[in-house]
This record gives sequence, structure tokens and C-alpha cells, in this order.
Amino acid sequence: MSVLPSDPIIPPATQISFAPERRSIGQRRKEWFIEAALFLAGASSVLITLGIVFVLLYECIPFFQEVSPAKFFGDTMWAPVFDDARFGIWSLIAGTLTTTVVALVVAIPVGTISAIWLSEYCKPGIREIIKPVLELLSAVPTVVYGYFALLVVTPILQWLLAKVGIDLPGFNMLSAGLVMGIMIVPYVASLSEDAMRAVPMQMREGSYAMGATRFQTAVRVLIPAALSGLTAAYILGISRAVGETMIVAIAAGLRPQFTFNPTDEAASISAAIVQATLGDLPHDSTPYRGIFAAGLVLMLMTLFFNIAGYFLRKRYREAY
Amino acid sequence: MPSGKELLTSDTTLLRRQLASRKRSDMLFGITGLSFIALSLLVLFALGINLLVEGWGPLWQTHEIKSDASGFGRRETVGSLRKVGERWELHLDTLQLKSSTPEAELEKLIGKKVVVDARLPRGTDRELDAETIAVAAPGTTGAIIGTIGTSMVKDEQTREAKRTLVIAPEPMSIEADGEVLAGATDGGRYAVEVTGKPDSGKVGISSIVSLVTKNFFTSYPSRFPQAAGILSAWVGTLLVMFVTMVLAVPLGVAAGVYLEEYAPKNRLTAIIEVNIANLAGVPSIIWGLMALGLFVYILDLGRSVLTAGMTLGLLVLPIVIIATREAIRSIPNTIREAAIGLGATKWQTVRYHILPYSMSGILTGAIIAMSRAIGETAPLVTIGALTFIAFLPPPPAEYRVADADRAAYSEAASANADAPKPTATLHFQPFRWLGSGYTVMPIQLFQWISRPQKAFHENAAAAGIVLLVMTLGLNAVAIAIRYRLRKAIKW
Amino acid sequence: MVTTPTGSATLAPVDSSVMLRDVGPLKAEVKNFSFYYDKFRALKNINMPIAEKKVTALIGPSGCGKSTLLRSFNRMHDLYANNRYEGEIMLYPEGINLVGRELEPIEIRMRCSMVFQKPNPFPKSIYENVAYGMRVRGISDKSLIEHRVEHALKGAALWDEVKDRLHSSGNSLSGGQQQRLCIARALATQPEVLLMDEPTAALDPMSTSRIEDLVTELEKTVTIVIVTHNMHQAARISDHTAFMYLGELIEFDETEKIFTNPSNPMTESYVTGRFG
Repeated sequence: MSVLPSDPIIPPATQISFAPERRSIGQRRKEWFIEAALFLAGASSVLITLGIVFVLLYECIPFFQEVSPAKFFGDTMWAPVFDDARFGIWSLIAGTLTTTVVALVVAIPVGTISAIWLSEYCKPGIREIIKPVLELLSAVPTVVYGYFALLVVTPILQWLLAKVGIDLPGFNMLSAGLVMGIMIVPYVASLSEDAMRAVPMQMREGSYAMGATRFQTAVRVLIPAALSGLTAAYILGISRAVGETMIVAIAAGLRPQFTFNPTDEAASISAAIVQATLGDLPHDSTPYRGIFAAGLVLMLMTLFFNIAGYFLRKRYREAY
Repeated sequence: MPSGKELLTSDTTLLRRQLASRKRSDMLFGITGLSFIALSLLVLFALGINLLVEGWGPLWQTHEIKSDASGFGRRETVGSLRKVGERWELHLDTLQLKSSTPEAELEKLIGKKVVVDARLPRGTDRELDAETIAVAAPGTTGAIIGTIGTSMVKDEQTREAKRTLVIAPEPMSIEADGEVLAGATDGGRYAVEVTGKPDSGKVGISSIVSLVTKNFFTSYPSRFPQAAGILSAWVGTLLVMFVTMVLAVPLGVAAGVYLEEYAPKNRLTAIIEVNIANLAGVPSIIWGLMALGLFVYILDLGRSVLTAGMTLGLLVLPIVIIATREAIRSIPNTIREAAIGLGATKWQTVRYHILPYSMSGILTGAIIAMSRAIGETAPLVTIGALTFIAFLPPPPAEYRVADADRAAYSEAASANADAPKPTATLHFQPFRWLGSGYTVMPIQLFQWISRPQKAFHENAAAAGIVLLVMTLGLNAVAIAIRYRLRKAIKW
Repeated sequence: MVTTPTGSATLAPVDSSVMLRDVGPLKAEVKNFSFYYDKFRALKNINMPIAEKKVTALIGPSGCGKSTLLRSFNRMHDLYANNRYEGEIMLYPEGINLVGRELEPIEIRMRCSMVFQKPNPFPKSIYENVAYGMRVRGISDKSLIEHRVEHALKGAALWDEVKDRLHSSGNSLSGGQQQRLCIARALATQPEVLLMDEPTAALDPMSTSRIEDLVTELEKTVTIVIVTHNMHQAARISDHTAFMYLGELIEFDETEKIFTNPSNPMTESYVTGRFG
């Protein structure tokens, strides 16, 4: 069989010598374009961050020209739409901190002890089942938790506290905080368990070889060894609680109040933003810019916790 | 409890005794841990049970509305039309009885046939205003002959059962011109508007509109809890999720591929990494503020499906990026070396090896991201989604009369009543829905929780069931994929 | 003559009748002992005595089961699922079965301490590392603990190096010091048996020789079972040596005999360095 010059399978030698070079130029250009596109996608996260910072500052700078930072940070009353408008961020910070503390009182012990149980007591097969089921707790939409806090937990708490003579209002930070705590439990438990399982097996064996029980091994060896990881888990949990919106907005009420009493009704920073945007807030007004100022404060708070958590986690990952 | 030197013994009995107390605390701790986990799961369980108990009824509730009504569904005076010989008869459903006759007197009539001198209900009024009620003698030709009985009905606002007196009317023969009855089918259910004082059981009918049965999933929101549903909410959720997915998944996967496969180890890369970790932790309400300032006001995209989808897309982007990176990182380097060694370019390696092998991991991440986005409420409240939406965004293609044709027709019709009606034609409008107003499931839920009436809280529970099924279902799919992946792939 | 260790067909039959049985007073005895990692039988019917206050070395090529046997002595395998013991490891003088189901592993571990291949000090101070065993037993007598810590650190030949910085972290020590710290930790509770799993594998020659001297010193007070990869080390420090191969005990005898005149050709080819 004769090989024709136009044979598509075996091209003539003259074509072979040129084809790879020509293709490689096209290929190289294509590769360059793809890499550039992928780089843009990678850099998009930076653009998004810049977008957030830009929007917050864009509204905050005129706000602080209208309302002095001294009034913003030196007042304990938040009443942006009153005739005598007040922008005291402390009342919102008080609400945020109180709900966060209540949530952590639930989430840290329950999360940590659950994590120890999962990593030290539980059989691996059972852990494979329990962990994802537990993680479903954090997959429940927060608005559903809000419903639960307002319409199930609050009535139960009202009934319980009535027995000790405390009159719990229908909106209160206690119920919001408790439910928020439950929501954060899988988050804290999962991160803590990761941290404890990252402690090398030799460390465990060393402790067991000395005749320690599982409890003693967990408390005396694993917790100290996994401390930075545990701290990271708590800090990221705090960050979640500080930024949580719907549970607080639904169950703790939308009325800003400077109080640290969990049985009071009060608004967190995020709830105040929801409250402001629920109404028809006129664009380009001082109250409108006020929610961006409150948002900036919230952003800085969570940013601090997130960066601290990020580096603590990085540290324990490098440690072993 | 022994202490000091004796604990360092090799005496077995002493060792065992002190061991017993240590084992007790070990066991106690184990029980505490297990019960904490059980408690957390119990909350999930209690939440689910509460939603089911409260929301199960409203979830399956149906109601009938006039087929031409746009959305504000409401109970009508309803009955069925039947043709008996040459005559049409109207069979009304039971009517609540409102009468000046003392209740005790009326109760004596329960179960008896009565003649009622009454004003027939008009329009949407279901109550029968009876002036005189008397036991029907054989051959009576009164206004309405029916049977008095009692009925437990639910109050529309509070959903509490109330006992009321009702009358089950006998069929009435009706007189109406052919045009009104033309659309009526034998036995079908209709909303009717009756006119004139009934005489000898004959009534006139001024309008007749067929009824359609709507359920929770096919109803728009309503002022009346029993007629309210989640049609606009779930359609809105699907549309917003579509935009979210189209934005977040390609962008997130591309960013993940860049960071794992292409990014040089330098300062910029380090900054991007810290940045992504931080973005994942930015509270959702901040995303809402960003979208409000940037999308709604600066870019002027309005409070639309597009704005909502973009907001949620950016919100879940870090989740997709992180999941993609983890999936890619689990591919051993030998695969890359093998591909590069055979002369593949970097992109070919990514396209034919890295992406296919990490597909399950990426898919899991994308599903988790979607489940997170479905439940997000706060950012959408911030960009102003909390409005009463009783319509659906326009479909990508529909038959309708063009605006210009309609204007021309109304002009022509004012001059000449017999002007030809314009014909509807197929219009393609693939992107019009992006600019439409919308509501989504969690927003609808929030709106119902915010109402004071208990009946709306039950609707909220029903919507909560649907929302939970959506998010937990997506999570279950993701878990199943992850589980199978772990079993299937062994490097 | 065995030249390759790859096929089991070349294995010379194990003749247990020629093995040494009488080693003087017994501390422990392995009787018809087998061990399973799930379905895999890692140890096959091992029989050997452990003499009291002597050093018994377990040698053999990697994967022969020597560490598995050592870890059975304090039930380390209980930490992982699906492991199974069969047969007995008796501990004297009471004559209790260490791998018996009814026996609490913690009790055994309090009597048989273990030193691992890689030094694994806890992330605590030197002092707390050594005191750990007493702390987990609930001992709170401060002067007793101080006394025992000092005693154990002296016993592990570490006291002079660390006495001025007892409260700095255990991780601040060098590798050899860390391993001696782990030995001190194991000694502080006065165990009856000290199990050592290749204690010098991760150490430099200087630290190795210090640990070897230490083992010889400790022999006076405690029974030692040591797994080693290094035949010269076994020859230098042990009284009895067991050679294992593919989960079987090939030969057990006085160390001198194993290294000068082994009765099994497998043993001979291993100790002369022809494989392993």
C-alpha cells in the first residue's frame, strides 16, 4: 500500500518538522491565557475583600463626618431614627457580647467534651456515623433556629424561670444565646476533634503505657498538647456567634438596649442592621450610613477573631 | 481512697482498689460526653418534631380559589352546578347560620328540615343571614330548604376549632342566561355570585367562576393563613440558587485550581490564602451590607434575583474554593508527575487528571455551599427582599400580546367596538427573570414568624419543614458522596 | 543453608525441643501465644520464658513481630479495634494472664511500663513528665513525688543534666535526653517489667551507648524486655535473646549461645548478617 502525501495518519516529513513548533506556540498562548484566567479567579477573593472594605468605608467616612466618633463610641444608646438621633454603638456591642457569652457557655463545654468523647471514647465506626449527623446541626438554617428559639425554647424558659420568680419577656437574649450555642456545638466539636486527633499517636500510647485512663489521657496530655488547636476552635466559634444574625433578630428582639442581663430584650449589631433594613430606610441618610458604621465595627471584631484563629490553627498544624 | 506510698505498690488488691475509683471517673466522663452528644442530637430531634407537629397540618392544607384570581386567595361562596333534566341546579356547600333566633331555639332544630327566610350570601360572604327559621312542612315553598346541623370549623385567624350552626341547603334550581352558564360543566365546583331575593328556591346568578384547588406549594402568600403558601418562595429559591451556582462554582473551582496548581509560593499567594480563610468567616450580614451598597445602589441592579444570587454566590465562594483545594490536595504528586512526564502541559494535566479525580470532592463542596446559601436569610433581608411577593418572575419564553399591539387595540376599540383583538405571540425573554422581584424560603419563614397570629407560626413551621428537607437533603447527598469517595479511592 | 529470606519455603522447621527452657527464676512466660491484626495472624504460637531481673532481647528482621510481641505485654494493642490475642502471657509471682480478657489493661500497664522507639515526652515540664505515672494514680503527696522524680531521674542518668531546669519543657531536651526522660517516666512508678521498643533507634551513637549502660544498670532492679534492630546491641546488653522471623520464634537461648553457636541455620544467617 502506498502512502499518499495527504495521508492524515502519517504526514510528510516536511509537515512534521513544522507542526510541533507551530502547535507549541498556540499551545503556549493558550496555556498563558488559561493561567491568566485562573489567576484572576484566584485574585477575585482579594477583589471581593476590597469591595467589602470599599463599601463600608464609602458609607462610614461621611457618617463619621456627620456623627463624631466620640459620639459613636462614647454613647450607650442606639436610636438612629429618633428626632434626637443617637448612635451609641455600646448598646449594640453589649447585646452582641451578652448573646455570644451565653452561646459560648453552652458551646465550649459541650463542644469540647463531645470532641473528647468522639476522639477518645468512641469506636471509629460509630464516629463515622455520629460526626456527620452532629454536623447537620450546623447545617440547619439559622432562621429555623430563630423559630425554635422564639416559639419553643422561650416558652420553656419562661415556664422554668417563673418557678424561681423571674419574669422572662417574650424576646430575650438568653433563649437566643442558648440556641446559638447549640448551633455552634458541632463547629467547636469538629474543630476540637481535629486538633486532638492531630496529636500524634505516640503521645497517647505514652500516656496509656503509664497506666492512665482515657479520661486522664485526655485531660492531662491531649488537651495541653492540642491547646492551640482548641483555642482556635473556640475563637472561630466566638466569631460565628458574634456575627450570627437571624437567631438574635428573631428571638432577642430588635430593640437596642444597653444591658448585659441575658433575661432582657436587646439587639446585637447584626440585629440592629436587620431592624434598620426591614423598614424603608431612606438611602443617603445618616441612619442608613449608621448601619454601615455598625457593620464596620462587627467586621473588625470578627476579623480579629478570624485572623487569630487562622494563625493558631496554622501553628498546631505545623507543630506535628 | 488510699494515698501516698501505698499507691506505688505492686500489691494487686490495692492496685485494683485504687483503679476502681479511677475507672469510675473515666466512665463518668464517658457518660457525660455521650450525653452531651445525645443532648445536641436531641435538640435537632426536638426541632424536627416540633416543626412536624406544628407544620404538618398547614403543609397539606388546600383551599379553593377562583381560577382567575391572581393570588389573594380567599374562601368563596362555593357550590357545584348540576344539570337535572332541562334545569340547572345549584348545590351550595354548607353555610354558617347567622340568625336573631336564640341559640337554644335553633339547637332544637338540629337535624330537622327547615324553611329559612334569608338573604343568600353574596360574593365572599359565607354567612347566611336568616330572618325566620321554621320547621318545613311537606310541600312548603319557602326560601331555602335545608338541614340544620352543627359543624366544628377552624377559625381562620387563630386556627382554633369553633362549634357553629350550619345549614346544608337543598339544591336550588337556578335561572341564569346561557352565557353565564356556558362555561359551567356538570358537577364542577364554582364560585358563584347570586343575586336577587330567592323566591321558591329559585335564584339568579350574576357571575360564575370555576374553582381551582391550591395547596401549600402552589399558593402565593396571603393575608389569610389557611390560603397562604410558598409558591413564590420556592420558585424564588430555585432561581436565586441557580444564579448563585453559576457564579460561585466556576469561579471557586478556578480559584482553587489556581491556588493549588499554579500559584507560586510568594507573598501574594500567602495574602490570598489568609484572605480566603477570612472571607469564609465574614458574617453573612456584612455580605448583605456590601450587596446593599455595591449592587443595589452603586451598580443599581435593584432588589432583584440577580442581586440576591450574586450576593449569595460571593458569600459561598470561599466554601467552594476551600473544598476544591482540599480535593485537589488529596491527589498524590505521582499523578501530576506521570502526566507531565508523558509530555502533558500544565493545563492538560489539570483538565484530564486533576479535575476529573477531584470531581467528587468539588461536587461535595458545591453541594454544601448550596445548602448554606439556601438557608441564608440575613443578607437578603439587608438587600430588601422582605416584601410581599404574590407573583412569579417572568418565564424565559411566554405567549403574550405585545405591548404595542395592546396599545393599538385599546385605541381602535375606543373607536370601534368590533375591532379585531390582537393575537398573542411567543416572546423570548431569557434574562428578564434576573431583574424581577423575588422572595425565598427563609425570607418567607422569617415573615411568618414575625406575625403575631399563631396560625402564621404554623405556616412558618410548615415552611421550616420544607427548608429543612432541602438543606438536610443536600447535606445528606454530600455526606453520601464523601463516604463513597473515601471507600472508592485508594491512592 | 538459607540464603534468601523471601520465601517461607526456605524456612527451616522450628524445633522447640532444643530451645532453652530453664532460665532461673521466672518473671513472665509466653505460652502458646498468637496475635491477630483482624484476620492477619502476626504472631504464631510463641513460647518463651522471661527471666526475672535479666535483660531479654527480641531480635529479627523488620516485620517479624518482635514489636507486636512486646506491645502485647502491656496490652497496647487494646487501643486499636479488631486486634485479638490467643494463648497466654503469664506474669509471676501471682501467675496472672496478662492478655486475659478479664484483666484490666490499665492494671497491667501500671506494672509493666513501656519505652517507645521515638522519644515521646508529654508537652509538660520535665518534672511533670516524670511525675505523670504517679499523678494518674492519684498520688498527691508532694514530698513523695519529689523524692520519686529525683530517684527516677537519677536512675535514668539524667538528674545531673536537668536538675537545674526541672520545670522547663520536656521538648527542650535533646533526643537522647528525651529518651532518658521517657525511661525515667517509666521508672518513676517502680514497674516490675520495663518494656523497651527499639529505644535507641532514633538516637545518635553517643546517646545510644548511654542508654545501653543504663539498661545494664537497671537490670539489677527490674526485669527488662527489649526489642532491638541492632544485633550488636542485643549481644552487648542482653542475657537471653529470642530470634523471631515472620511471626514465629525461631530460637531462644542465652545470648552468648545465639551469637556464637546458634542451633538453627536461620538464626545463624541472621546474626552473621546474611539477611535482615
